[in-house]
Amino acid sequence: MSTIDTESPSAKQPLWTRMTHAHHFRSHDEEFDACKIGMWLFLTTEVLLFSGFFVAYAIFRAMYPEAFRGGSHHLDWRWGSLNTAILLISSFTIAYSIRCAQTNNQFWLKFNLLFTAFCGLAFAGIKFALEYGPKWAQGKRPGILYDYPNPVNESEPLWWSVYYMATGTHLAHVLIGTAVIFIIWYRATKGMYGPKHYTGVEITGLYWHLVDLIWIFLFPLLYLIH
Amino acid sequence: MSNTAEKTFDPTDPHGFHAKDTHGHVILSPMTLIGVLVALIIFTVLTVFASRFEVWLSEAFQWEIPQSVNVAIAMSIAVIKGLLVLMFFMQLRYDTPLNSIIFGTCLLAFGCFIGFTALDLFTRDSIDRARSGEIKAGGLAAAHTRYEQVFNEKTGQWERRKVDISVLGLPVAERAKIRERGPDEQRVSAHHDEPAPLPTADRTVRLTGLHLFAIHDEHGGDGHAEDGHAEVQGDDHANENQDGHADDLAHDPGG
Repeated sequence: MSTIDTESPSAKQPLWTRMTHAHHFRSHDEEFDACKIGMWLFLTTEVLLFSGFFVAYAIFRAMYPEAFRGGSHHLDWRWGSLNTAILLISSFTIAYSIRCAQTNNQFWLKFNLLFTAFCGLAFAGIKFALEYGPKWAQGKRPGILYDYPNPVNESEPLWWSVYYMATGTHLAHVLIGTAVIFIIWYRATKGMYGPKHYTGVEITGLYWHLVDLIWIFLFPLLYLIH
Repeated sequence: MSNTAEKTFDPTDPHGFHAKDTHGHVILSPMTLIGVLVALIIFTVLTVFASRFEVWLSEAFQWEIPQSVNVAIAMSIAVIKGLLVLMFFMQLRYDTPLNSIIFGTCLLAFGCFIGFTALDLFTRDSIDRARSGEIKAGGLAAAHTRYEQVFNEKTGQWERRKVDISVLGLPVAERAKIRERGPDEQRVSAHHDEPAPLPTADRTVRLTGLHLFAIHDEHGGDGHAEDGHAEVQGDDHANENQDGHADDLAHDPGG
């Protein structure tokens, strides 16, 4: 959106001081607010995307309580809790990175962004290596792929369908968010973000918080309710 | 971000002296951010502890706490955590009310989605008792893979052997046979140890597999659901279903 001012006498200043708002906005603030509203509108579509999984979970849980009870016993609450902690801490670090951009604390801005991105990678690593991998190998797979010899209830494939779809879609969001945070971090190393210009950090933060928010609800529903 | 040096009167700006300059740019103090993080971690520990405590109670003392309590505790804590993230990390508390309204409307839509779905699915029997059987625990979604005990003559031992009952897993000839017999027969074979299910009050036409277009019935048989004669056969089906429906009630009035 923003363009780089190369003509002003302050061209030697850090990049963020030279970022001007796009020509169709009246001011930088207006651009910031517009970006933020756009992001919130996008987040509502994300919530509605996940609402399908939440509704599927609620309805199927009420219809097949035994299958869902049996299925959720296969999940290890310790990995779920660890992943919850990782996401909460990463949410904190990205919120802190916004503060760092606002106060022109360039080192900690970059550190917090990088830390958040690695938290996203850690979440994905735990999910793949310790949860999806072993479960898939044991035959605990969704729907027609289900191949586990000792199901408690014949409808357990349905539980795994809901589990893989909900956590898989969430994981895709984590990976996309991680990629975006790496891009923002790269831009931060170029000095693009500072007190006058931090829209990118702010709306990336909003996206990451939403990923966290959805996990806050997925975690108890899948791991804790028996 | 209010830069006082740039504050000049702009006659084309409806906000006058950059009236919008100050909102939307709140710098949260480190203590606020750390406090919210600590609260989130504490609530996470609390919800995990509540869940483990319940499991421990049921294992050690056979005290079964109702699931509704478990759900209520977990969901209330999740809502509190969600509100903390929304209000402080996502700064809705300090932001323009418009963003909160946008998000609130979205949650309202979610409420309608889940509310009306539940209203339909779980109150059918109170309107039409015959429909209560449609939504039944453990009824409609069954595992595609089953196991049976088979005696292996080579090793002289009983073994578990996989029985694939899904249509997709069947050989082409078998699939054709099932298509010939119709989807109802297939359901019977899926529950081969149970008597054939009685027709339900469900008047919808069941299809197996993907059918973008109606399939022409080569055998010219009595036209099951998946051929192009669904409409023509509609009346027959309706009669069958009504008979079956009467039977159903006679055998099992409880639904």
